[in-house]
Amino acid sequence: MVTEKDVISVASLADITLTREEEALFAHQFTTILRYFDVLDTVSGVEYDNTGEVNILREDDVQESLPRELVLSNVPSSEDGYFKAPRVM
Amino acid sequence: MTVIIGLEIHCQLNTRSKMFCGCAAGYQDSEPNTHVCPVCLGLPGSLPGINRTAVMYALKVAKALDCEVPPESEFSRKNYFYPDLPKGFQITQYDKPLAVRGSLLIDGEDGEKAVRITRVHMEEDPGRLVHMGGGDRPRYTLVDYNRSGIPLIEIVTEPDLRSPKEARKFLNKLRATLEYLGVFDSDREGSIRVDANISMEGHARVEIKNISSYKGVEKALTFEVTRQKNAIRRGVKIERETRHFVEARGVTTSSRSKEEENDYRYFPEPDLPPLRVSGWVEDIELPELPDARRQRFIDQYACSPEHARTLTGGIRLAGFYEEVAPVDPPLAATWVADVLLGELSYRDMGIDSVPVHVFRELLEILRAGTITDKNGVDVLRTLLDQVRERQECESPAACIVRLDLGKKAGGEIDRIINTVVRSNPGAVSDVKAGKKGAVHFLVGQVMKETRGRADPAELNRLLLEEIDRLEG
Amino acid sequence: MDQVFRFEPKDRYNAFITTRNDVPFGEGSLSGIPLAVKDNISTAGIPTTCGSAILEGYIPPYDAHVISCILREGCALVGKTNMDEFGMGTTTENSAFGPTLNPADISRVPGGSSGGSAAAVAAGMVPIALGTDTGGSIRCPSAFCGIVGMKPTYGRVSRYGLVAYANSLELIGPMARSVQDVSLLLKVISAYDPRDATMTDRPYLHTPAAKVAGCRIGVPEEFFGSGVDPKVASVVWDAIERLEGMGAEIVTCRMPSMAYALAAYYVICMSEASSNLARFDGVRYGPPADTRKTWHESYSDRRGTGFGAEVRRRIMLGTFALSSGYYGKYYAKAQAARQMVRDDFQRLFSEVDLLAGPTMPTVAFRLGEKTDPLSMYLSDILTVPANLAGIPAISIPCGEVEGMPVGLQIMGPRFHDENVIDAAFAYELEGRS
Repeated sequence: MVTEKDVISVASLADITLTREEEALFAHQFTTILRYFDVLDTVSGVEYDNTGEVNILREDDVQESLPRELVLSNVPSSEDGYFKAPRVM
Repeated sequence: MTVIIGLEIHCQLNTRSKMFCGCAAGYQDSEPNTHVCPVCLGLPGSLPGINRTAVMYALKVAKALDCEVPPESEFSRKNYFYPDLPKGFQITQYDKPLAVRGSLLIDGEDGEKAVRITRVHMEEDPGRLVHMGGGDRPRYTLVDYNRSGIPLIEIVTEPDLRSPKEARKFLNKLRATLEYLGVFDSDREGSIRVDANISMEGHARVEIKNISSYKGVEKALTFEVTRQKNAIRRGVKIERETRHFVEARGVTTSSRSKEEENDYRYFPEPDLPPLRVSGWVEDIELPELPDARRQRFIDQYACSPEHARTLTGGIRLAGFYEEVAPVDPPLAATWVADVLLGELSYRDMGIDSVPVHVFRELLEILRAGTITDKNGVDVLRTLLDQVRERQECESPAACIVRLDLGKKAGGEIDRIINTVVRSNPGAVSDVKAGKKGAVHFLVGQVMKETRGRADPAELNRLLLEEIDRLEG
Repeated sequence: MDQVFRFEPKDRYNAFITTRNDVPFGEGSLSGIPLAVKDNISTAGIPTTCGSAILEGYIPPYDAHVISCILREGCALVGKTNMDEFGMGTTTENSAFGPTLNPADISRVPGGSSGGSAAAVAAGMVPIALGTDTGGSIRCPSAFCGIVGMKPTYGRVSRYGLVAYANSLELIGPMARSVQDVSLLLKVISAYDPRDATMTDRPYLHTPAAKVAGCRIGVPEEFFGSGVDPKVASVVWDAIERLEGMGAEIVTCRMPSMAYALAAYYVICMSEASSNLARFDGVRYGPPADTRKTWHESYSDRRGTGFGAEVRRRIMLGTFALSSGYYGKYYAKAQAARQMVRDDFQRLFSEVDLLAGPTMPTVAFRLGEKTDPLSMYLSDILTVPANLAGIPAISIPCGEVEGMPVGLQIMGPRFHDENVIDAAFAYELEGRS
């Protein structure tokens, strides 16, 4: 049973603002979905096997970076070539 | 009270390109956001590609630290949301690090000791933030992603260090080792960042985050030792917390951020298959490392253990010494370790700024004995000041002539002594009366006349002879 | 590129988010062919929204690998197609740009999440399109709209430039009205790209040959389980029997891991999504961050309003599944279950050459019919196993139920895309004759 309090705490961990109505709705929906996921509890004795996967590495060669006009082309305003973000403190 | 310290050291590897993309890693003097591409900007759809050389460098470090390297390691995502992380997660290694269980020998407080290394793993550096608006409440943040994606290795020690000084020694040794391996450039600003865990035995552990200089580590830990000891003495409970080091004030402050409670939700990076490095480590040939070079300096140049330790403390310093040593190994050791380093440190200059041929010439002059040690130091100072001001300097010989610092010829000295003795009869009778101070006075007078170009010990002898001669 | 294709579609089904009118094209195997691209594949200079308000206005400064491939072969890239936001949905109703309608019946959904590409092909606006398939997102709308769509072997097409939803599951694939066109497009997009570290250098160079005689085709009982509409089941069985008539040997078999597949799939895709979708902070692209707020206020509010409800649900459930104390119960178990699915396929493909069954349990839903998230998820049960195992799977039209198309799904072992194509091609030819 997922409560609205649980939803609020996950929303805070995920950094997502929800409306009050959504908190209630999500609590109800998450309960149903997580109950369905409970089938995984019965999985045992198997381990994920990645032996077929091989690493592909890149040589340490310098490639051209993006021109700065293009780097900043998707922001309405920049300052001296920097991106602008909200204050973090 | 036993002090328990463990360190987590983040070092930038000096590869040509970034950890997961081809952008140039040398970003230090570049305009913001000029060394970026879809990958290190975290643009939607971009994918990371592992830099083979970064892996090789990290493995070199692992081997030099005598670590075990499991056949398979794994990159994971560390999820947290901050504007310096363009993807909203950092690619790092979590439960399957590149290397584990190593050690590094240091000269500890009670002799040589092995500091155990818990793990060595690879990760990417975040971008750089500039907080605008100043004061306690910046108005907004500027972000430069040139640093984003620079390859880092994180080296974690066991809590084996017992004092701030030992921590400093460990870092010096680690830095020298990384330099010798050729994987790290300690002159790069921000190339090393340290988190330190410190506790008094039996009390809670405090983490000091993000100390960005070697000296800072010792200072922060020293402050913390005092703070924790005082608190315990007064019966105040030490809180398990994360603190920040305020470099300017030399203090640590409690960070109210919830960082330590963060749930990073690590999981394997699905864009990167496991890293399999079986056999790679065996193929790595390590260069001569600091301990071996130190022993060689003792054997080959007859350096004192103390000098050998100092001179091998950095790869460039050691290289510099080996270039000037042929002139006269013991003389070179003394002049590099005991004189030059202090003068450089005073001027905030590095060994690289000293022209080898200039220093060799100075050593040759000193060995020939045509200049006094004292004036040798003056010449060195003058030349270093010149280098600092205009990146070049005159030759030591030219400097000596220009400032007239060469040793006076015997005849001239004799004349000066003769004059001094005659014009100071009072002092001369004091000398005869056995007053030691009067000799020093007379030596001083001669030094003044020769402007330091005489050897004080020798002057002492010559003066006494002259006075004896007067008597006779 | 000196030639221009004039594209003036009447987009009655809302298949496109962005269209271009005068489209340059060049020489090559796709010369002058109008091609539609799902809007989660990065196109330099052309907006790429992923059907989301959070990417409104974003114009990628680079092309996805597959885009470079198709342009090199001379196609006319006529537009970007509508989709469930970030690929999260089975109907193309979860789009910030409104739902796409099914050309076969405009009161029904086209399926999802590549619903725009499927509708554009089905309506004849373009002959071929690119879609992406994380848990059936190419095959579901192909089945619902009556076209051919294929999810290639994981690792056979570069994901570079595909805006990630669930990296370990998803792939770009071709959609068309014929198996031959699907094969042609796969040949173009499977060129090796070292930028995708999960890619294998095994390009698809095949020309389809109608070949099914002597082929052993397995039909797992679980593919016709309780959720499958009996009328759909009957049409698909007819198709399988037609394959038998063409000389294939039909073998019924079991696939017990089907009991876990859907839960495993959703836990994994939600977990990966919760991390992939963290980057939309408005600092580098997208609607700009509000610098009057603090970082966390701005970030949370943007995610609250910029993402639709289904995306937020999946991010939150994925966040939960990876969180401290729950990782073992959800993510780790889901990976173990994924292994069971792979093991099952491996066992089955040691006995048979291909597997067949319905693509979707039902025909296309009515618009607005599926409101409960879980019941929507359940409709992916037959498509997700191929993504969990990374095997190739194709959906081809095989009949109708009440006037709505039904899809036959054929799967093969990893890197046997050629055999899957050949069987589908044989079926297609037989169906036409």
